[in-house]
Amino acid sequence: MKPIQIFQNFGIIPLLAAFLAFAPTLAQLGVLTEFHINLLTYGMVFGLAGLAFNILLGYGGLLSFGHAAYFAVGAYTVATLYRYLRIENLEVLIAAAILTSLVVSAFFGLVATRFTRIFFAIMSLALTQIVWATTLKIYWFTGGSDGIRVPHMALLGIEFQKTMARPEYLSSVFYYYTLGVFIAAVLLVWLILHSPFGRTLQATRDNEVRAEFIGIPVRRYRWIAFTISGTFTGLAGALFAVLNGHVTPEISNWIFSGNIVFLTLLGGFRTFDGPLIGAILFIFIRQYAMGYTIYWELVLGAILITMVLIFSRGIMGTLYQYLGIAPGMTSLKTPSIAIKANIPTRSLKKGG
Amino acid sequence: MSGEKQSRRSFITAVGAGVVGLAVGLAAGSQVLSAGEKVVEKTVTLERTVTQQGGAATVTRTVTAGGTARPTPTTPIKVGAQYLFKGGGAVLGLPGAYGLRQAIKEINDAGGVLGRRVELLERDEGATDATVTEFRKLVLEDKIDYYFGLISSGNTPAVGPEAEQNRVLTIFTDGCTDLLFEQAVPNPKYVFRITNIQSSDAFTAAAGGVKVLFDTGVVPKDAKVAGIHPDYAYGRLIHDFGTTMLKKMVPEVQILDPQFVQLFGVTDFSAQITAILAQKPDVLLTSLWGGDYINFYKQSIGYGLFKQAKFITTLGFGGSPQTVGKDHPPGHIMGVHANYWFTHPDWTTWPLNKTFSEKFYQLWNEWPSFEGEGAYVSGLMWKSAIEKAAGLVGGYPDHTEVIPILEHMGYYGPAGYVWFRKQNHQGYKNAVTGVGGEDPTYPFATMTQVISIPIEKVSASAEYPTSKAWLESLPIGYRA
Amino acid sequence: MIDPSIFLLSLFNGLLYASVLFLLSSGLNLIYGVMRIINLAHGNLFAFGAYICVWLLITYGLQSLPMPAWYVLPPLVGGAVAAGIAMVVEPTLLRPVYKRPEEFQLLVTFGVMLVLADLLLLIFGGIPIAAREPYFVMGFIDLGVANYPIYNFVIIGLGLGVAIFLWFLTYRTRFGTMLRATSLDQSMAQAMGVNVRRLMTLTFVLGSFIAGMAGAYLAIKDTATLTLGVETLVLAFIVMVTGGLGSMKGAFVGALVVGYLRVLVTLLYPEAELMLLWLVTAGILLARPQGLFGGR
Repeated sequence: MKPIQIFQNFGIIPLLAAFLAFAPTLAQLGVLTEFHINLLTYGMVFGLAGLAFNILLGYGGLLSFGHAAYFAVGAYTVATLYRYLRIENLEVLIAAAILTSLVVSAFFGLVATRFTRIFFAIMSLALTQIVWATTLKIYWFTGGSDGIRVPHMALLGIEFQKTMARPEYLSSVFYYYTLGVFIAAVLLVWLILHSPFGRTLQATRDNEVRAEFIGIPVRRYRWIAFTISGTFTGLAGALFAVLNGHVTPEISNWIFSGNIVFLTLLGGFRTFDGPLIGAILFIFIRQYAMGYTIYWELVLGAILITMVLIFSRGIMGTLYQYLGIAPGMTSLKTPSIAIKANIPTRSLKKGG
Repeated sequence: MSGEKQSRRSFITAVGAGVVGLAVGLAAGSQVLSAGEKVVEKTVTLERTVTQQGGAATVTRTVTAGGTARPTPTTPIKVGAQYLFKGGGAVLGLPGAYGLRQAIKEINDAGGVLGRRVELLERDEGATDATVTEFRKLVLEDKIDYYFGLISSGNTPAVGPEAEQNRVLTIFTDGCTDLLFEQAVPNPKYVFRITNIQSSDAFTAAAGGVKVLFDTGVVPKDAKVAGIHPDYAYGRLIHDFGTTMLKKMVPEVQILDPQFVQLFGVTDFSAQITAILAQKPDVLLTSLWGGDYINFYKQSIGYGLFKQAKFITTLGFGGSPQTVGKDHPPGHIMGVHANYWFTHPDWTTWPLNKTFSEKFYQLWNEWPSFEGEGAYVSGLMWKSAIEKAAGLVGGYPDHTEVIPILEHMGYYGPAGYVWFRKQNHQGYKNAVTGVGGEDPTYPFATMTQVISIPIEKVSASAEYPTSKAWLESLPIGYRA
Repeated sequence: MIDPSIFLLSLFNGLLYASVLFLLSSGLNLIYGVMRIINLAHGNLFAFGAYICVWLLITYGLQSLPMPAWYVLPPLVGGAVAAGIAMVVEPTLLRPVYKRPEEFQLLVTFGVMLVLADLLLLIFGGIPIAAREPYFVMGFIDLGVANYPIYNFVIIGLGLGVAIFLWFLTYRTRFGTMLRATSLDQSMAQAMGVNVRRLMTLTFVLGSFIAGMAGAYLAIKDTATLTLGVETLVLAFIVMVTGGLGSMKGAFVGALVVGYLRVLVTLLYPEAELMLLWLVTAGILLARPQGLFGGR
């Protein structure tokens, strides 16, 4: 395949993967600092969360303000398994986190997919607040607002945590481990979204009524998408627990969900790789905005408003539109989340 | 350190391209330099016999030096600090920052530390995650050499391990939870903490309450004790230890179910106050602080809670003094985290306090709180330790040379004599609490009766692994 | 079994909470009813009113004025400032997204929420500020075991007053008829000659004014802090869902339900309060998504 064809089909992902792979070497050369590597790791974790979130938003047409719940479930699974069972194998912990977030998102999804549009957003918000209130109050199990400490873990069976100090561990072996998981997850999501399932999901996004009419069980597709989305978010949460070294209830708050929404919008929710770029940008912007001014929330808010009003396609979306390509998506005609059918539909749906 | 760098280097070389690996090897040589120093390290082992304060001790240290004494760098010393600057906690955080700034100012005005100017990098303290991220940034990007600060007990157990792992010499101002040195950083090397430990806080509150309320008969021996605390490490510990101690000292008390409210999460305490009133308590033990306490006492006056029960607070007077107005009813125990109230020690007998307080007022237009005093003293002790270490080493000392000095160091500060305990790097000074009331000298509520307790009576001695173990070993009817 | 004074206290507290919740959610409901927008920035407008009021009383020194002025002037100014912000925000930021899907509108208000939060920090600083005199000077009534602050009745009265005002406005004035028409069928109302655009702006401004004024009155009782906005928004949200989005009657009843629920839970099992509120919200969404009185 010619490079231009690769770009048209896969967007910026190959470039991104290459950059991420070489980043630690760049750090050794002094082009980047160890802190940048740390930030990039966070970028990958949040990129994963954004990618998962975008399964619902960009591909399914559902805005969820409650993805923090699954992120937190994944993170707390890792933290509590370490704290109470002293498990230090990251693979075991990740597997457990995937399982718990799958169960929770399947359950919550059953409830949430009864609605669409605004009510879906509200319901997802309420659900994540329940998780938040629970993690805050069952102090004896979750440590309440103090949270739980998570030390560095054994990777692939090799007990790096015994030989390395945390800073070295995070910027070398853990970085590559995260990169590996990240690439595997991105590939997996790509495959899912490019399967017949993915295309059908996009059909439900574009015109819900028509999809229903041609026999697609819209609600079931949404539920499956919800579960997949929540599971990958939980995976991101699990990695976050080790990277951050600490899990606290605030990662289950709806405002934290808002961050995931923001970064997806920033990168472009109608593209596959938008959330990935958006995440890295978000981490860096937030870090440096926080460094320059204590009014960084104002900066974020202003950027968000600008994005919604003017650049609703996000960075990657605008770029691709300019180039006239659409890697990873079925259509790029309009930036709306769901085209309103001419038949008046109520935004409230009950039943399947 | 070189061993770890070896495994890291070889790992990356295995993964990266071969050409890059060569460049990495060249670059790695220059990476060994640590920030701020201009000397190329050669590993040379020296043995030194050092006589330290309190007795002669032979200490063998491996000093990496270029054979001769390390010259003092001329670059400024970078010091990082995080305090609560926003929200309900700023009532404690701001004075802390003021105290540190005052110390740094005095140090710089006197020529700095060994001639090096001190540069203070302040950042916001917030929820745990944000605080740790900012801390990492200070360490990895701003390359601070030393760290002060932190108010919240939710944050020190998170930042402590990070400081240890990153080898940053740290003196925490507060965040005084026992969990820090019992669980999070059990064998601290780089981390110290200046203000009195939390279990002492609980104990002092209880002891003060017993002295003023129970032993004088104001409150009956079988009093009912209600509680309201912020829902995090600090609040839970104060409830736990405070009620344990009350029961030890006055075994007939009845401990009622306490309320836990989210820290700075509730502005209207009507429901909680009503629930407390329903319990018909004689005493209310509370560790609400900062903006929470200001709200709570204001509404408690409205509901007449102060008439129903006597308050024992651990941090009632813990913020900037002017935040508790003359409207606060007199005769209740107003705690200062067992540390310091600016009128005590008395200014005529302890001029150091007068000088410090007046300077503080002149600079910041408010009188110092205990956080301000703690931060101030930590800055001065730090300077003193570095200078002493420099004298012994004959050059600018690194952290491993300063730490043994700090571990054995005692200092006369505005609050009195304070020292660090070697085993847990915790600071100790006499515990203080008092009774609140009106005084014409000040436009706010102040202490009309100060209760000062020798710290040994309200804190576990070194041989106890946990403060809880010591508390439980005390006899019934104990008096501090 | 329960001490009568405690019972009275709880009764009043329930009314107090209900009043606060109604004041918050009435504005939100008004805006949603007409514009179909959930204004996430509403809480921070409330906070603005709170800060302005306390600032006027303490820093600016309005407390030196004769007493009745304390309870009238600063809250009105607080409401006016919130209304002013709304007047700026609506045409510039919200109007462009009316034709877009509702989610975009939600995101814009989310962004405004963030901006307002930091504006509060910028203008008023990080430390919470409190006014004491206006609250204390009103005194309290003696109920035996406890007292009840009289100022709380001011809040209860305010909530009731706003409810009556809104009812009158909606059902007895021409403006109210236009409001109801627009919320039922926007395009039809426009076809009948209603200046929908101006109506939307007015509604938004009115809702924000109520929020700012409510914040001001509440700040006299509590303190003005930075987290006030998010805290109240979340509660108002719960009321909205319980009562039914866009329904004023629903907001009234919902506020009573949630208010008394809080009082009850705090008396009996305080640890569960937070979780319970959200469980109830989720439960109502499941059982009766349109809330108690919502019809859409």
